[in-house]
Amino acid sequence: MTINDYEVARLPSGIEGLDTVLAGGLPQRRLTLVSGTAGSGKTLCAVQFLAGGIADGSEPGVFVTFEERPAAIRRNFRSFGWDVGAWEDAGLWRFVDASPQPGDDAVVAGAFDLTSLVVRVKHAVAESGARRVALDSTGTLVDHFADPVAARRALLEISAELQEAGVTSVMTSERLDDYGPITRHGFEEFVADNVVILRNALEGEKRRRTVEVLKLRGGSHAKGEHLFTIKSDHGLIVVPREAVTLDYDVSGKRLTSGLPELDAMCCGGYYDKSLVLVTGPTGTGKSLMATHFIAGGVANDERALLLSFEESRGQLVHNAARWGHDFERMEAEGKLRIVAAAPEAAPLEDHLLRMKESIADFGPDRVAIDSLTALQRISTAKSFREYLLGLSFHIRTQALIGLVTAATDELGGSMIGGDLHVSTVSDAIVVLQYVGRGAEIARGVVVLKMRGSDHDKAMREYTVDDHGMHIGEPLALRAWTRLSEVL
Amino acid sequence: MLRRSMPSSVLRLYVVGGTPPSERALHGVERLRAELGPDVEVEVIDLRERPELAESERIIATPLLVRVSPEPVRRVLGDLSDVERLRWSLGLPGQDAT
Repeated sequence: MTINDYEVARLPSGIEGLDTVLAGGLPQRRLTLVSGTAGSGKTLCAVQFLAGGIADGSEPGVFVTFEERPAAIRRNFRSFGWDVGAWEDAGLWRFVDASPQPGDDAVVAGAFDLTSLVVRVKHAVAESGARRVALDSTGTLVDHFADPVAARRALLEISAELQEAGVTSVMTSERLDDYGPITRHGFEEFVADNVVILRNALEGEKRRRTVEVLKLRGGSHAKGEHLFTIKSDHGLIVVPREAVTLDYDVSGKRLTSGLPELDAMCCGGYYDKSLVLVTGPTGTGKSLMATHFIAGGVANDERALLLSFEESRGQLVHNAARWGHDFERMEAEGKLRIVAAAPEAAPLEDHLLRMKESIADFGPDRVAIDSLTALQRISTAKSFREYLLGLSFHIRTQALIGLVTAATDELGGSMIGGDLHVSTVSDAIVVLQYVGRGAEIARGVVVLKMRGSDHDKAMREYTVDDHGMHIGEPLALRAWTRLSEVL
Repeated sequence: MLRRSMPSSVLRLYVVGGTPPSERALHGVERLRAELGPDVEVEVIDLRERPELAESERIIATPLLVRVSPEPVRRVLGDLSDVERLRWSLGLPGQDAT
């Protein structure tokens, strides 16, 4: 018997990436609470959960709305490509409208309960043959009456009825603080078997949307916060941060760096399915290294994708031509695609998604990103770290080789930028550095790290001319000093 | 059975059979009937038997007493144990002062 035999059966959530975080999907026949602050995407999540069932296998769904009117939901989610009205006509979607109505404020004369709401949900599920139910959102129901006890009891009864009917459900509730109590009323978490948190936290001056599975009864899940974004034609898209699972194949295949001397320093080239970091101060030739990497791949009949966040397409083509590489011809032959974007044009999650889309669309064998420093400038430390994890995971699972460049701040300073977590996620690190030799300044290259392989530990001098970079002899240990020590 | 005169009030009571507040409201309505005689007509609807009415009327809480006529429509939620409030909100004649 494996551990999976104890795991509760799962149902696809309908949300891209979330099933990975949930280790397969939402627990079937159970109620999952989705709690989040205002504007964190709760209603979207609930709607998408039902839409997923309808798209997946035409599983009918019931949407119990305590807050928004059905008309507003039909209208608001059309932009995501979901035609709720048509699904209603087809018997695939059914509303239970428990939203507050103007003029229905009854005088209260004695005790009451919300059994009729329970009756309505049960009736809707039975009549439609629903497999999925969404309840959105509980706080409004509780606030509707002066005494919250009736609402609490009703939600408990509904959850019991839903379980009995064998449907899988999502219930949303609001919380006041992204890192505070799970829900505003503090009881919904006791009604549900599973708890998922949506966050829309302000970090620095930027919004950072994440999803976290807080509790999943009877099953495993990926821990911690995972970035998500909202796209108009997809809804929520989660970027699972599961680079940490490390279940990709480690390849033994070697690929060229584009520089024969550097391949020799790496004992045969970079590994396939790995992420290579090229780092160094400004002007040392990081972009040139990326150019060699691209050209080397294309020369070996690989397809290459170049993502530039620093220079325009025209500038890249011009620079490559200066070093003897014809990017325009490579593009015309369909061996190269250049995507140049301003880092500020989109949040970091979107840059990651665009990269994934470019990879899916173009199908490259190698990808170069020049540079991460530009992306880091627009993001918070935390989301940058998650971007890197997502990036390295995607490159490995897509069986690509990736090369990223990053600048170090000081001219002769620390070998790797202090807050660049990229060094921990990369498999190989190549450092470019200015070195002082007497009154002269030379440039040196060293392979600092090469996961799973031996490598040349020496720092070698290199020069740059019209044909690009040329790596020469090791710099004699005593002959050079770090530039910072010279200045 | 023919009535001699039109009732001055038509009430509709929505209940969910078997729940304590609904059962108490049914007793309360019986008291009203006994007291007001043909002046009031009460229709009782058990939503457990007519769930589609709960949906079309968007009823989430019961027992719910609705004064259908005379206009305007008035709604009283609860087991009708608060008799004074009930009379006041439905505009029913109060008991004679004793």
